[in-house]
Amino acid sequence: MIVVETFKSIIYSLPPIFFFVLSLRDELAGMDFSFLVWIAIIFLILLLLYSATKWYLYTYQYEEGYFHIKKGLLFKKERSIKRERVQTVNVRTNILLKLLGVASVQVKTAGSGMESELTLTAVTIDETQKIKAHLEKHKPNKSQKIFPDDSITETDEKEINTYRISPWNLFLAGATSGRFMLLFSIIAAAFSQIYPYIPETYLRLVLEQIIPESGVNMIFLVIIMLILLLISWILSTIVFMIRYANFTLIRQDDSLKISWGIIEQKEYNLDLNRVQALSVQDGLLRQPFGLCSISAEVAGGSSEKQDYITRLYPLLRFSELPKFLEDILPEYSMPTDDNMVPLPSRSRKRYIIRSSIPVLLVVLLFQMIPYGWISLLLLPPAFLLGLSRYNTGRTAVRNKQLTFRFRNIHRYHVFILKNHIQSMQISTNPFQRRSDLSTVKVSVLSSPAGKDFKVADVDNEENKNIWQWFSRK
Amino acid sequence: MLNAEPSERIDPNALKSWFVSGFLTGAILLLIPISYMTSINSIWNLPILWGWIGIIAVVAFTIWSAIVEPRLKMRFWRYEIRENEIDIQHGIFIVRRTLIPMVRVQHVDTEHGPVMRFFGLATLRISTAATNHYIPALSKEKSAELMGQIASLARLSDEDV
Repeated sequence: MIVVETFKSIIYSLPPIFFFVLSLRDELAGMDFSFLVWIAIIFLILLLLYSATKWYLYTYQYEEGYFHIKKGLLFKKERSIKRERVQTVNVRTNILLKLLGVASVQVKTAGSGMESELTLTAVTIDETQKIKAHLEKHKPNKSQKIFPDDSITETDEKEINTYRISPWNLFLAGATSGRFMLLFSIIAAAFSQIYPYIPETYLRLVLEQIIPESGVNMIFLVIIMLILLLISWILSTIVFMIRYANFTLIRQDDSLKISWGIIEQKEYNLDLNRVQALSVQDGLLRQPFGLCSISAEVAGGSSEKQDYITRLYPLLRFSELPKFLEDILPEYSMPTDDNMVPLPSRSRKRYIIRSSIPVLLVVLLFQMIPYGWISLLLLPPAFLLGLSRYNTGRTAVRNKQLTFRFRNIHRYHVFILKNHIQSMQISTNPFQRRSDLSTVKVSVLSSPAGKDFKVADVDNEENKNIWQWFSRK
Repeated sequence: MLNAEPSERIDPNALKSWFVSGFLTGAILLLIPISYMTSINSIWNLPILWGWIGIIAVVAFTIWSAIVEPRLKMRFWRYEIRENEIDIQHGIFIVRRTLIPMVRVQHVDTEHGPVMRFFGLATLRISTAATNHYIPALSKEKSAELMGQIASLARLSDEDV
């Protein structure tokens, strides 16, 4: 820990030192070089001492049911955490920690913000496992489930299923993640700043290697754009692949263990009873290849954004989904096509109108400016989007599970169990009433606020079914 | 849409309460254009027309909120509290029907302003972990009774959230 802390403080103190040196540049230039080296060495020793005292005063211990921690020189701080209150224990490593053969442990309790977290910067790998085992031994939800004569089923539940992403799938996930558009806009913006400084003759030279006689300026620009697009696509794919390398999902008893990363390894433990809904996203770029990603709506958790919608698995073939659910989350199941109820044909018109009208308004506004007619090109996609949303809309109820399928831009399958639905609302506007349609919306608990899922213009008969399924009358 | 509407309506006294509170709000709002016309107009010599427009707007708003809206609300608000769930229907153009299972109720509040208290009314607020709902203008006895009922029913199965 001394080494790690020293490194950390060096890294933290670099920027101020840099500015300090920058501001005193002239004075420093006159000084003897060896004098500067001495300053640096003293500085380093001080940092080491500081880190060492910090290490010396930072103690932790765990005993039956509690986890104690003590730290601080001037401001002493003590804390003991009750084991039942601990929500997750995360083990993290990065390259430096790995070299030293240690890892950092993050203990999270319910509540949000810094106060609910506690980090042990560096403990040996063995020790992390011990701490983890100690803290996770007594989960309140598990103790409820142990019945005296049910011990056989209890051991049955202990099966472990593991999904690890293959490099090829990881590549596909990165390639189709759509993040390159964001990166592209950044690169394009940066490029537009650099552009004037690149001699045009040079650019032209490069370009003429690719296509000879590209005299037209427009083509020139388009090609540059395409090249930038390709670069950002490659970059974002590489970044994605490094970030989510070795993505592993393990179902063990009543919890899911998720881990990923090589440079910085992250591990995340998710109690099954915190999962409030499961959503399967077929991204616009993924759907043509029959690929999807899976995430969960999670209740509770810390302030980290990562925790709200937890990525359960970055890429899966859609056809493998039923098997995946069976292995990892047997609580949920994928309804077959004939179990899902499509939208009635009379709602097609409403879907198309709904997605076309805003675009139509924009188009009308654009007619006032020159070249505004180009905006007419927006209409066919809007029309197709509406049509596709109509075709996508499905609802299904089976046993304890409600399934919605809908499209915003990407296609979603949302699975919700009856006991996770906080409330259900069925609404109609006058137009819907005229054609016997209604909109169904369910709310689930998801941090920080609740989350709604809805399907518009469902046949009244089907909504009545869903209502009755949910009603406990 | 769904066959049987929820059985209960909100308390008829709500009409009076909404009339009074709408009227009072209107009277207070009326001070703005009147003060404009009397003082500001004479000092800065701005057109008096805006004052009249303001008065007309306030009067129209008062008529709507004190007379028309309460009647519409009365007609379209329905609720029913059953053993296992709360069923609420409201809305004039967009009709919303909401179903809240008793097990999901986290807490219930009643709240009443001075006018509502005078007429012995209260608003019942029902919160789940994810959503908030309310039933406006119940008689005080009724809301207290419902609050107790919901609280005791909700407590029955607290375990599975």
